[in-house]
Amino acid sequence: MSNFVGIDLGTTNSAICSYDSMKIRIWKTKFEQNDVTPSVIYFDRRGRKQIGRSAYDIAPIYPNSCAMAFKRRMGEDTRIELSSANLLVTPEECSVEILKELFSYLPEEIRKSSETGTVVTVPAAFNQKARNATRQAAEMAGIGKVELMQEPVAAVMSYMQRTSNTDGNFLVYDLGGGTFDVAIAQSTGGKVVLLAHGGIEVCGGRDFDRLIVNNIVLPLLHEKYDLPDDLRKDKIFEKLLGIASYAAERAKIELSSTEETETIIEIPHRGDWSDHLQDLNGNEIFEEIPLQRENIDKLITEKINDTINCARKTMEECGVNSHDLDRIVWIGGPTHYKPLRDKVSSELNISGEISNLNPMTAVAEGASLFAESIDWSSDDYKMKPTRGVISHDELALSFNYTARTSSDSSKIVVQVGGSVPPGAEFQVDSLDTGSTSGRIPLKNAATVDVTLTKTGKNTFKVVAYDAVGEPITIKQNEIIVTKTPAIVETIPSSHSIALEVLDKSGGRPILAYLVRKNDPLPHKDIIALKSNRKLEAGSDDSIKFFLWEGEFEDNIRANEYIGDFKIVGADLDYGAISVGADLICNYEIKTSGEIRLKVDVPDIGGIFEEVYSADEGKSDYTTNAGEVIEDGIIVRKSIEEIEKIVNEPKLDQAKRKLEAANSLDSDESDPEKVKEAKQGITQAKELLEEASRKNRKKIRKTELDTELTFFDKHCRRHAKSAEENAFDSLVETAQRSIDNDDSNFDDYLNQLRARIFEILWRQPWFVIENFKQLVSSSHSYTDKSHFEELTMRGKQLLGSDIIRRYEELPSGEKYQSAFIDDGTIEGLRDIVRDMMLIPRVGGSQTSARDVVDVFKV
Amino acid sequence: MGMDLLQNPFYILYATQRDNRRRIMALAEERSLSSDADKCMAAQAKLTNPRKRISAEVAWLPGIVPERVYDMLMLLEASAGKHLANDKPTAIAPIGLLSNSLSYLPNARTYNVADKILDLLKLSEGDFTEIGAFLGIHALTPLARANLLAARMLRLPDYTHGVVADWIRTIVQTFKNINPSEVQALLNTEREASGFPAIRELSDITSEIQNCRRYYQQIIKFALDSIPSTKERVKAVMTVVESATDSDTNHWPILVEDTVDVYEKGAEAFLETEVTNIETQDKKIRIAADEEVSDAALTSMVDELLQTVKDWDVIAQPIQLSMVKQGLRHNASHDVADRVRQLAIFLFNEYDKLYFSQKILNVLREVFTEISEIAERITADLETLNRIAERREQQIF
Repeated sequence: MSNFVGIDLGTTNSAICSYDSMKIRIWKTKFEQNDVTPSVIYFDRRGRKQIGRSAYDIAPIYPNSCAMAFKRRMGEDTRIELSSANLLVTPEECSVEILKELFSYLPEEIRKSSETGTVVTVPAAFNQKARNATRQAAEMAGIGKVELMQEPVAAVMSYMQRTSNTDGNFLVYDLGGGTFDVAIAQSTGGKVVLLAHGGIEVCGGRDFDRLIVNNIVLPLLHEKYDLPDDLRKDKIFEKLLGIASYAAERAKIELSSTEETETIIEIPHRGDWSDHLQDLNGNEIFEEIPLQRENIDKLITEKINDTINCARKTMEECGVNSHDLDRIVWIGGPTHYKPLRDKVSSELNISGEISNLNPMTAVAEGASLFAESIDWSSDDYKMKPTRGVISHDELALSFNYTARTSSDSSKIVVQVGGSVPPGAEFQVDSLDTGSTSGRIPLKNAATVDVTLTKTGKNTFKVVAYDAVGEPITIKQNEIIVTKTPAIVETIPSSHSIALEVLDKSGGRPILAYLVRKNDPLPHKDIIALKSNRKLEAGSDDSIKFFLWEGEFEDNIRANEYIGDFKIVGADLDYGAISVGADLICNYEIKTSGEIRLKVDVPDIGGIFEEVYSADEGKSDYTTNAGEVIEDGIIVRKSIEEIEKIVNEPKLDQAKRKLEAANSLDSDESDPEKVKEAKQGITQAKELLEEASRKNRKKIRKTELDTELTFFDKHCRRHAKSAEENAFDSLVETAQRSIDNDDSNFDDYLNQLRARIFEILWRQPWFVIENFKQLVSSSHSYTDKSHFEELTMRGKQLLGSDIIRRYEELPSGEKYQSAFIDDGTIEGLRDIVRDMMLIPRVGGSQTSARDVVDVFKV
Repeated sequence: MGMDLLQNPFYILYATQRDNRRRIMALAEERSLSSDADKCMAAQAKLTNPRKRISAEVAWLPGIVPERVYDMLMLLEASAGKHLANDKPTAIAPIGLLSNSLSYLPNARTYNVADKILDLLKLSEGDFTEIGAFLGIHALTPLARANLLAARMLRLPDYTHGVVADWIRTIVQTFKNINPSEVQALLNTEREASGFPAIRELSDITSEIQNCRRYYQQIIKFALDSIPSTKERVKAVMTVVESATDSDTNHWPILVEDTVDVYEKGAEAFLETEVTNIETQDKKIRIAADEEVSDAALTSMVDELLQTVKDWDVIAQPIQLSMVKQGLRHNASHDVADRVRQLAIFLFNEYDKLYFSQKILNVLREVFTEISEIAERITADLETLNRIAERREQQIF
């Protein structure tokens, strides 16, 4: 393999580079000869396409014919409507066009060579669905052998290649058009260990443009012209919006690239598009709107703060603080803007580095370098081995060496397993320079350092001699050491990935992690599980393994659903998988973050291997605003619950993150707006989780005290001595669980509640109160006639006299309602029990995902 | 998750806590040329990441000087291990007698010596401090000792119930003495020397100690599973449980509860089988009663059932004690007691077999004496039956 290609498939701009083991080349656009290609596609009515700059320039006047920012919708169950062209296209199809366009810049000998391997980058914040969609797009584009890699890894590679002063720790701040990525890297002698990385999926230059349009341009236009309140809902004004965005972006870029503190947003922007812009009264819209740096700074403050918080969180995740980091490396268009760099640098208290890195192409350059480290001849595009060995079988003698390194020398170490003739020696000669190590005694652990004189392949020959100087034949005696510009020794996982399993048979659902965030990749392991469900051969039934991305352990459904892996009855040739049967789950998380899963069922001698299905978990942000709003309400309620117990600033932050969801209309169809609201909810959940974790002891203590107080007040006098002792012991157990911060607390709390219920259930007043409460909520029952029948039976049983006497008791004495005989209460208990079993409207909706089919051994 | 000392990244790279990043990377490169390269790279990744490193540090031997660390690990490497137990240590030699053996260190490769020295780890606190000083381990912290104990428990030459119970009791006591703040201070001192950022959050340490606890739990499970017979295994667990019950505290040490938890998992299959047997025998007795078989035949069937209940209870006993101590309900006990109690009620109500009912209930009360809720209910039943019996006797006379 000799051609290594890197593609940065960006939200607003994309770039392509190649590397030939010696130097990197940026491949420019065909006509304009630009380093980057705008990720915009124009489709005309005849199905013809324009891609890149030309599409970008006409997008403002033909917004209904142009697809842009589709990277943000990768992995969603959604289509982009191009009404003028009468087309519906998927984000993946759009990505295919960009990839093909970029690939076409390469010379034919690279494009058509079987010796070409391409790395396409994805943001660290991309979830599995978006990652899978990108892979799918790359395969559909037909650009040969392709592997994915996280953008921060590529950025670090690029930085390492460009800079000579490498030792130390640094933070890569990569703010692109659509996404933000951050990485913490540690470099030592040309080797890089990536300690952690993270990012925000919806945060980039495009969001800055929207802020400028919404807060500066549109208010002014509304003031001067007769325009509808919400331009987005009126197709006639889509052009105006497109032109406003375009003009705002150009003005922003101008301010970023000059020292000026003010510029003008021209509407229309330097073109004769005025005939397209009229207000509701037919007046021509023509404006020059001043844009000052200080206004931009104010508008983007919140977004920049988000990136700073994300960087801090990533630092915290790997246990470093500002003092441990030497510099910030800037990547991405928006980092051209000096006030942004100054703010980030000062907030993080880390100095920024002015490197010779091109922020627009650094990721593509790094990707091409990374492509060189992949063994493209391997089945699964594994990384090339960094260690090599040549051996002499009869003597059980081997020479182990560092096969790939970024340093100027490599080590060769002798290992002797058998017996080497006494007096034997060996030497290592460079076939490139003719230099030699000279003869060295051949013994175990003998070490030779060889100098690498060039980047790329350095070839050496090992010669061994016996005591009289006769050569000992080593069949394969050539050693090739590749010197690379940089080696990233550790690539961390950007998300935690877990299977949802029960903690034991009949237990509660927990996350069984396949990989934790920032664990080194690739990662291969086995999890031993057992089936919680019987599966007969040939049946339609299945055993499902649910995959989640995230670390919300208390509320598993708050994580990002990746998809499921199924063993279907039809896949079984004979027999059955019984409850309790072993399910040996072998898995691998690739360097790119993709998952491979294989389940071995020894009982039936079957191995089930397939890529999990991710379709079920895909969202369509053009139609699910209602769902997002609901989700936001639930999170808000949870925040308010915890606020009653603790005073925690993170909870205020969490509430602010819900603002986008709060202001969302249920019929909102702008996917970017809905996705941004969804992202706010996820961030709020994370903050809520952090706040809960930080205050867990206090929260749990309050919960425990509440139960204890209730027990003392209402139950202790009714409890038998054994019940009382058991309750008190359980309180102590729960208290210890709080002290140890273990995961059993919720179980203990539930058991305390069950014990309280059990005692109260014996009390007539409690049964009557339950009956009354159920009767008062008649509207929520689905089977009304059954409900009415039970209500009538209950009332008849109690009789009007009992009800009257009961009601006449002062509330504090109701528990003394001893005038009701045991038989009546026993009968009423049965009725209440039956009433509780009637399904209720809005009760728990059981979906396939609610049933967990496997449990942990 | 905690880990075996010989799987710890420090050990894989032959690194110490005081090695800086550069040294760790150099060691990784060097070691990867003579051992599993992937393992070495994974170890390097863990040790160079300030956050991930905590798990390796807590599972290591904090507080022991680096030279002594490797002396101790060499002993572990040289120890007999379960499968090499051809030269079992006879008894722990008096400290004085070991002085000569110690002179062989660090080249001691005699399993016997290694085993004997390692067995000193389970001496009582006072004696151990003395031997700790003797070994040059002046400040063997509870955490380091617990990690050594766990490593040793994985390599015992012999797994009899007494030996296993002794080791479990020692690790239980040692774990109790681990103080997270002390561990944090100790690790940060080493981090200062190695140039790694200090660990600021105590919660990072406590959660890693809890991970170690889960690992010790696995080791305890391994040791219990290595005891050849079920009876002996129960004995070992009961010894641990009883020594915990003897203490003055309201609760057992957490590792004792963990010991019972892992025991429970191992005993699950047996208990379930016995419950099925109880169900079958219960049904048989009911049918026999319906068929009006002789009392002699019924006696033998009831005795058989009661023996099964007793056998079931022997195995369930540690679990019951643990559950009661924690205030938890042992559902299986309630189910078994309820089923057999219902049989007693059935025999009396349907066939007036007062003697059999009393007999069954007496056994139940004896068997479930530690579960007050069950015992109280059975006692009430027995009182009712006894009153009936008395009334009948009075009527006769």
